Amino acid sequence: MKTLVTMTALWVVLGLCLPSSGEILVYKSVNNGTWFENPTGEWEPHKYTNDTGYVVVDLDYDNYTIGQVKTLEYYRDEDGKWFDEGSAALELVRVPYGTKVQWIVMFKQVTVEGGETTGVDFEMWAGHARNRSIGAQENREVANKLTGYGLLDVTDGEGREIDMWTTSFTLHPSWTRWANAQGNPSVDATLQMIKDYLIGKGYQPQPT
Amino acid sequence: MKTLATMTALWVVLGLCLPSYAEILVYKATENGNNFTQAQDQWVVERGPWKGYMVIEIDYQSNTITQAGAMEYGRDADGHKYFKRYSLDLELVQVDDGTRVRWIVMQKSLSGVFYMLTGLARDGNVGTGEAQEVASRLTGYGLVDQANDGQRAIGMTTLSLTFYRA
Repeated sequence: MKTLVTMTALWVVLGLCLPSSGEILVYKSVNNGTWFENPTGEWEPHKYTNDTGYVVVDLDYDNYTIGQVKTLEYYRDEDGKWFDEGSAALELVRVPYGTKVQWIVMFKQVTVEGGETTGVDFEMWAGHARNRSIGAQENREVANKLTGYGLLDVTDGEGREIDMWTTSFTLHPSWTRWANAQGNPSVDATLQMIKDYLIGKGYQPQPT
Repeated sequence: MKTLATMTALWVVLGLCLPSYAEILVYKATENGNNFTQAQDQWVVERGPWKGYMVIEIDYQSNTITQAGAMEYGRDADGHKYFKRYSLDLELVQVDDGTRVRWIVMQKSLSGVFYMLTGLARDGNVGTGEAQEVASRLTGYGLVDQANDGQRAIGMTTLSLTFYRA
């Protein structure tokens, strides 16, 4: 029994000392698109240009899977400067072909209520991945830029909304390096750093 | 009984003589982008453009697309000419903001296909002599993520349809 406890303790210590295979990636996002809403029976078209934000991703390099993802959109309106926090479940598909690697990142959500499909939200971005020094480990494979599209058709208590947009994600190298240089890199700590930066620029959390 | 048969025949004749509210629209289609297909653990990347035609039957009374299909044509890797036919299940949403009408055409399936195209609709005579509101140009995006027999196909494309006036 004593041997088992000693071995367990040894594995725990070894596990803590092993380098983490996860890394935090910080991307700046820009969205451009058109959306249509029908809250009162009349369609209202809207356009948006250069909607900006940040996406913080925890990537497990052992399996090339994305763990926790947090988003932070920021904007100005007539009442002030705001940021809005969110989260997403993203899937990474790594596509090696020839001498190149393509990263494809997806968000898919289908909402079914009472046997009826009431919402589809499908977003996909792709970009070439290359080895870069981005933090704790040298020369990690990373896509510096991801571009793609989002399509949404949702009907809920507020009516129907149809949305079609383009998105580009650009890696933020200095914040990515900062995030991974921390003793215990985490998505939440990185998000807090970005919030502090935005608060310093006069932004406030969006009122609920 | 004779009256019923006469009435039925009359309604059939009238039905045949009534102007149809359905019309066939033919668009020339160009799709650009990338398709990634996984075959035996190897990924194959195909790049557009892919060309073809899309044929839509539209019912102007209900403002629905009742039937649709597409034909892709081109040359394969060996240089042979080919065409492929696809059946589509399209949904039309007409967005009228009071000053103009925009068409939104969607192909959605729960198995991982979502195409969305938009374009402004204007009055035009497209064949029957009646002026109907038709979008002569539709542009948008297509996203595909499907798995069949353990293989995966991912597509991310732009699509443009231009009304074909033969």
